Amino acid sequence: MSDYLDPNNEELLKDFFSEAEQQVAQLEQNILVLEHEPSNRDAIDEMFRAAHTLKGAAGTVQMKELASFTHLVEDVMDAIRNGSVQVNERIIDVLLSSIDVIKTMLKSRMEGSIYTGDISSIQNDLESFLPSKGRAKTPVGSAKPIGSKIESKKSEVEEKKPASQLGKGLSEYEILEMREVVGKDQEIYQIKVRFDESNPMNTVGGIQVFAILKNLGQVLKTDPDFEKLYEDNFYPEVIYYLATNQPITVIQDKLVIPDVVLGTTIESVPQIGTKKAGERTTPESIAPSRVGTEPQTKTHPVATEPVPFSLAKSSKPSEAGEPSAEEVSRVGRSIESPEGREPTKPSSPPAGKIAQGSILRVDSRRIDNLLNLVSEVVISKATFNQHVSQFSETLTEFQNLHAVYTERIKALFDHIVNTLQAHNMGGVAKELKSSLMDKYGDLFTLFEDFETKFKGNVARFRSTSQNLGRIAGELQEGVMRIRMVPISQIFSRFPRLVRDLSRSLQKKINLVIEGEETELDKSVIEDLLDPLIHCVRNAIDHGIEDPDERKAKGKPEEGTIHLRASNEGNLIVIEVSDDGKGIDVEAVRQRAIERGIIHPNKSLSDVEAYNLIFEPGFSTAKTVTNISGRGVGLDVVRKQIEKLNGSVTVTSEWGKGTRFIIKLPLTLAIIQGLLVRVGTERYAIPITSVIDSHRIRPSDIKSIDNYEVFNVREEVVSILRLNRLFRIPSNEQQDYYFVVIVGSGENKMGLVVDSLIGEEDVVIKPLKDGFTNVPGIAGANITGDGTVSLIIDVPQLLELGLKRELEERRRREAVIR
Amino acid sequence: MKTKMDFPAINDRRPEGLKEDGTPYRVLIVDDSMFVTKQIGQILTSEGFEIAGVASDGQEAIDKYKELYPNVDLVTMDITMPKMDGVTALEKIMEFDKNAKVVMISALGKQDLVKKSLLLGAKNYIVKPLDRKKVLERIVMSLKK
Repeated sequence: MSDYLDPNNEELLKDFFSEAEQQVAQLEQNILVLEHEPSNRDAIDEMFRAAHTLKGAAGTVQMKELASFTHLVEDVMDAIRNGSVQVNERIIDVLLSSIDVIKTMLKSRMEGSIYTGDISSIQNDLESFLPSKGRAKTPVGSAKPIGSKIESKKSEVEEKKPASQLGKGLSEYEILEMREVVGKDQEIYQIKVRFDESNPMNTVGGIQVFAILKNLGQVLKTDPDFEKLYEDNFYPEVIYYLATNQPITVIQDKLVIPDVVLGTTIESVPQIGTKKAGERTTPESIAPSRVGTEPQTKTHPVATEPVPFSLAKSSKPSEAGEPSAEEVSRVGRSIESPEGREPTKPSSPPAGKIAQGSILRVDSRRIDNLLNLVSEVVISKATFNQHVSQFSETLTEFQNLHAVYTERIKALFDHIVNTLQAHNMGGVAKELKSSLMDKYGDLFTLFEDFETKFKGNVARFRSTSQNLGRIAGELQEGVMRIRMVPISQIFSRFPRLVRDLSRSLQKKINLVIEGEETELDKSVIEDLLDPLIHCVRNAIDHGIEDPDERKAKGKPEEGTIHLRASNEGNLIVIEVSDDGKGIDVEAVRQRAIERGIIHPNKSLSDVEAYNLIFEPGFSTAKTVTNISGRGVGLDVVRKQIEKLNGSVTVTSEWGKGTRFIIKLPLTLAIIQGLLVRVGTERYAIPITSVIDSHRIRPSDIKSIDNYEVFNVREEVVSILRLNRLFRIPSNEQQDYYFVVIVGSGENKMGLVVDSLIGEEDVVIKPLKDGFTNVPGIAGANITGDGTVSLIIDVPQLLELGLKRELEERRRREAVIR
Repeated sequence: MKTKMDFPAINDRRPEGLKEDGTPYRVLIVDDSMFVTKQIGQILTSEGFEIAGVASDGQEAIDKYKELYPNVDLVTMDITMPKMDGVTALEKIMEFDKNAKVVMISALGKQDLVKKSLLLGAKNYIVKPLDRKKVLERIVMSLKK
């Protein structure tokens, strides 16, 4: 169909895939909306639009299997839209599974192959929804009436043919009527337009011509009627009566519409001596005009006419009506599906290559903003150039002044000798002094001008550099914002997930999504999906009870899961909460003892118990479902989130519900860090994991159970000496230690450092492979003065550090013994 | 800029997108599908047209048109779009500038809307999937008439 597709047009294909993904997501969302509100017009429209766009795009890139399947889906949606099909559960199910088919098709296209799976059953399912007969657009159903219309129209035309010798197919009265509304200077033309039936939208032509003619003058009448033209029928020939003062050639020109109009015949309608016309025109003027009709009644065979009219007409009945484009494509699907692949093959290999890169959609305003900032940077660069020249100017000035100064000083020294001699010869000191002052007094002010100038330069330089600092800050923020995408990108997947899960578990669940416009760094979002899915699954499987159980407890049958995202300072907070049964602390405790995670005697606070569910291998589910309960879920969640520099906590109320709170930094690339010094080395501790810092005396450190600990506000915190961990020689015999308390939630630890330097924005540079095994280090950072500081990986330290230092201590103790 | 390199250098035919005086025709592309927007953009720029702007829904199209006016020669208007559909946008644009040249971009099966648009003053229509030749032909024709 399209000769535009260039197999190498990778960019276009890339766009196609990215957009197709969106359309599919939109389809899915709206189908789910429809499930709850079967009469939601917006959802239906949007759904239809998405299917429609997808179909069109698939056609353009010659993905026939996709285009034809989507077309079928679109048909069903259209039927829903025009109300001929009622939305029910089955339709929703079938539509959802067709979405899955579309997804698979897209996926195999992305991988460079073509989907070959059997879709006939789902196709049949879809087709079964379509009212097979009597659908306005079904070509089979409408073929006959149209055919008969054409027949009747044809005969009409033929009937009128003889009459046209007189009044061009019009009765005298009709001409008279037309004349009445027409201005004096206007001519009436009868324009016969023959339309091309092979044009995909062949029914539009009649109106298109009408619209064009309307602009030229007044369309008095059409045959068939305007109403008929407006209906979805094709007429091979339409006659228009136009009143206009434009010459025939202009009309002719305007009506050259390739693919639509095959040819036109324009004749002028004779001015019959009517009462009104007669009154207005003098006999002399009537006569020439009547005579004039003969030469004017020339036909204008149009050069572009490819098929003789008679031939085109005779071919029509054999086709028995108009095969609308829809029928063509539907027939095309059933026939072409096996062979139809061949021509598209060449285009698929590049598709496989390109689809891998992830595409980031950015609001163009953000780019504009960046561009604006960049231009400011350029300006400031120019300003700096100016400063350089100013400074070098001042330098030359200084050198000149200095030369003058040395000269003068030299002269002064000579003069002093002379003065001394004069003094010895009995000169008056006061006079000598004043003569010295006269001659060399300007030495005092020699540098004054220079100083003012230099001061001005420095001030200007300072302000420019401040300006640059501001721009750099904004630029940083701007670039960061480019990577920010709304969390709806992953939230949007949940309605379907929740629906499918709740169905398979036969629970009734209402998913409420809030704050989906909250923005997050793209890289964070990508890694966030799995943990979130785990949390939601967990809530559905373990949290929400069966409808019966809920009823018995006096809760509404339908459970609710909230998925909420919000900003909290530099953090993103994502909350997954349910109104289910909550965490059974006792069950958790029993389970933990069973699994050997805790000692049976250990007393457990609620919060500690909640945190136990994040332990590997922990599950209180009595039966393992395919959804959750294998105990591999929540520990993975915690690990993933901590990998993202975030934290996850859980709170719960028995019988009321559970709430997971995930906190994440906005971005991973730049963090706020607390710079500390250990020995000669500097380290950055991510500020998000810093709780507070203390200055303590060595005597405050106590030893319990081989752990070094100290008290913070009635809490015992174990401490870790960074110098020992990283084996950095440093003086441990200090009056004071600085301890930075780090950790998340209940997991706390004090890091002993030599001194605190301050807070700074830290740009994380990943460590090269050789160093990635260094425990406790998350990356490196280059500080303002160019030195490298390492960034401490707090979660890892919490895990590893303790073990390490314990070993270390044991070794030392062994040595002492 | 980039487009210059894409000019076919095989003959000295003037690219379709240039006016008599050698300056390019300026086109505003309205489509909610970025893919289609890009496709039309590629077709047009390869013939020397200038893309004066793009809009992704009807309201944006109107705003863009008013902003660009009179430095815009033609609008390609998708029919089905979120917020405001192409037909309404067309109506509003025609109200604003009765000489506006708008070419509708429509998918199959939208005959009624295409008809409505043509009556409202659209100069022509193009049926999706887009075909390079037809796109150029119809746009050029709408500009010349």
